Amino acid sequence: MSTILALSHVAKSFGKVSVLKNLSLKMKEGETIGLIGPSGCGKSTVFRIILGYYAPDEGSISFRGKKLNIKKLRRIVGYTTQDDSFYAKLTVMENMMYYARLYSVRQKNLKKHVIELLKDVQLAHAKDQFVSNLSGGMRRRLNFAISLVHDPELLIMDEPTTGLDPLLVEQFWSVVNKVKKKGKTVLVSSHILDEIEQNCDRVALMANGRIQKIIKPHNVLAQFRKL
Amino acid sequence: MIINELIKNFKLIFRNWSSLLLLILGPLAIILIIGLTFSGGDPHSIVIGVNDKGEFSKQLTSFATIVAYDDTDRCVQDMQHARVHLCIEAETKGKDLLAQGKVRFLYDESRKKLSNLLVAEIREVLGKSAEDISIAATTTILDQIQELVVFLSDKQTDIDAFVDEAKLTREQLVERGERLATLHAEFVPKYNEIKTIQQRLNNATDNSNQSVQSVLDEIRQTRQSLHDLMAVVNDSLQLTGFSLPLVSYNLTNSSAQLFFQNGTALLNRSTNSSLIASAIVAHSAATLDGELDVLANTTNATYDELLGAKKQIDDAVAVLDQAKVLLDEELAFNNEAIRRIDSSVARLEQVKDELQEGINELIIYDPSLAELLVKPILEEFDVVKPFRNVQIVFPGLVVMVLVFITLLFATILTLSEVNAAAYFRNLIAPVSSLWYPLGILLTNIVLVLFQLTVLLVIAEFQLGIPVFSHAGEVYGLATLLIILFSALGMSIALYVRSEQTAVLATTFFALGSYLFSDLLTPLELMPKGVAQVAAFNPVVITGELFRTLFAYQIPLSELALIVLGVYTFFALVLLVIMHYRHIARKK
Repeated sequence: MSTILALSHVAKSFGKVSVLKNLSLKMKEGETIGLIGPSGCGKSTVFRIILGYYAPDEGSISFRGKKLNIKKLRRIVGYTTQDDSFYAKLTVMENMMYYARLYSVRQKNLKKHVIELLKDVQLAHAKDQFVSNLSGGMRRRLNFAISLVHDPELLIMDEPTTGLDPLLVEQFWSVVNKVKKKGKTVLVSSHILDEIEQNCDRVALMANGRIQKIIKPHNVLAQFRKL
Repeated sequence: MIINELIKNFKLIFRNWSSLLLLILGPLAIILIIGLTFSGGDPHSIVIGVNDKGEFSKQLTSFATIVAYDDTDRCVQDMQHARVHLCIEAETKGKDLLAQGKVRFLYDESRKKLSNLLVAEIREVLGKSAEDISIAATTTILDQIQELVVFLSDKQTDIDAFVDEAKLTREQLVERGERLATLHAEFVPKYNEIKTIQQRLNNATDNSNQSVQSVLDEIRQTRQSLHDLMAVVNDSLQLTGFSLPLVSYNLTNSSAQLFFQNGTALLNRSTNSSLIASAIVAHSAATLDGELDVLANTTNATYDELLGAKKQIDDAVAVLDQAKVLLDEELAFNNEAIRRIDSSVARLEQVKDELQEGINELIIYDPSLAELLVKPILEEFDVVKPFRNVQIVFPGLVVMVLVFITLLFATILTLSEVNAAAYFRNLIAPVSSLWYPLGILLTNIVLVLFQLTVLLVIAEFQLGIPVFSHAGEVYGLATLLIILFSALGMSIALYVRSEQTAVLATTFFALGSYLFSDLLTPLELMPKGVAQVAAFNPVVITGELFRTLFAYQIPLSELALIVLGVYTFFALVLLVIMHYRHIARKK
């Protein structure tokens, strides 16, 4: 598998606080990497740097060996936010269509494409419902669906199941795995070690602003404690 | 992209029922309030306190309730407590031509607008009353002047008649004078002749007197001589026995007869020639004496006649003297009379001219001019075009409504967007982040223009304010204003971030724009420096543009539009700066 994403010696500070120090990570195409670390270690910062939201103070980011501009990078990266990130007063369909247009998704029948996507995330039945009326799990799936609307090659998920009950977590991951089968590369952060171990191909342990270790998704906790 | 934003924004807005209601009902409520508030006409429910020592207050009952006060200070106290709107102290006296008065207004400057209106109303009533009185008095005076003019015109006619008579008399005098002159011219030479004759006669008489005396003396002497001779002869004859006087004799060559008084014929010649001769002499002497006596008598008679004639001539000449004197006097008097008549006529003509001048000056004072005399400078306050109250306030109110709504909507929409859960996702989308504020800006423009349309429709069809005749300009100007204040409102929201603070800041900003404009106070009443700055307030500029457009359909000033355009540009620049600042701070 080829390297789809490479972060090389990335550093980022906010004021006097150095959040990332010499962080390097390579992701292979089609794999799922779990990123775990204590709260405030910089996981979200890594994601935002990948998304181009933050510019790294040092280091570089390359996609398939190339440095892309932010717009191009954002077209191939999907981001599932930690919190709900859509318009509650719009319907499921309206949110999806909005972001599809925002990402300039060019499909002959955009609506059909979106409905298919909603089917993938098991929200097709609720497409005309206002988001404010959706359950927590449905909202997370919508959040996830939105991050897929532009068919990204790389999917970044920032603690996507926070606050969900185990059933919903299972539900969520079943959806994710289904989508993964289409060849998406996934980078996910979570505090739920079980879901990391169950769903990831590799686990990156992050501490002190850098990736300390990349391990197999086994005994993650024990490995983490060793850091 | 932008359509996508607009669709999203409008869906979000319209799905908020309260916002939707506000969007539609808001402008309706505003325009209704505007229409109701400013559709009033003359002031009403006015209470005026009057301390009136005349009958002034009666004139005010038509538009105010009058409350009588004996003490003006009490009225002022009540005015301060808003129980009365105005206090008046009035004193009027006199009647008709001599009516006069003094009125003192005490008004509450803390309610200046209403007080000024009331004072203006009362001034109009009062001014009208005083004016009416003055006009009536002046009309009376002018009537009297016109009567005087008529009287003077009549007198002028009389003067003309006098002058005509005088001229006629003069003509007669001239004619008489000519006759007198002619007579004089004829008389004087004759008179002089007569005088000369008189003189000559006097001289002749004098001379005659001497001659007559001399002749009489000689006759007397001659007669004496004759008497002496006759005496001698008589003596001689007596001697002969004849007596004288010899009556006649008849002498022929052959004989001579003497007839004496006794008829005795004297002897023939041959008889006593000497006697005959003496008798003849005596007879002749007697005859001569007789003739001399006759001559003397005749001479005396003639002289007496001459004297008589002289006396008659003297008397006649005396009369002629008198006649001449009289003639001279008459002639002189006639000339003097003519001169006096000329002088009088000239004076009368002069008087007539002066009278005419006076009449010409006075005749213009027609009673219809009374009003003009009372008000020599006619004040005509004509409105260029009448406007109702609502039409007057409408342009400014439209601007303020636009400003307030635009600012608030812009702030709220911006805050809704940047605080929305989706905002972060939007920022990581592969599009410029400027699309989002642009979307809000356009959404705000559409929303406010919609509200404006509601306002304008009601203004046009309900309040009768013609606004759609220049719809393009109205909407163009409104759009510029909306962009400007949207950018400002959005900038405030992006800068402040807190909803409460942003709304407060926006409200104060709108309020400041309103207060620092000519909507409350005309710029001309502000301190000069302040007014110069306030003139650049976009609210002032736009209000003025709307005013001229709605009132007089005057096209928008290019310069003003440029100024607004510059403001808008800088506001947009500010918005962009605030946007990136906000994103940076968010990071």
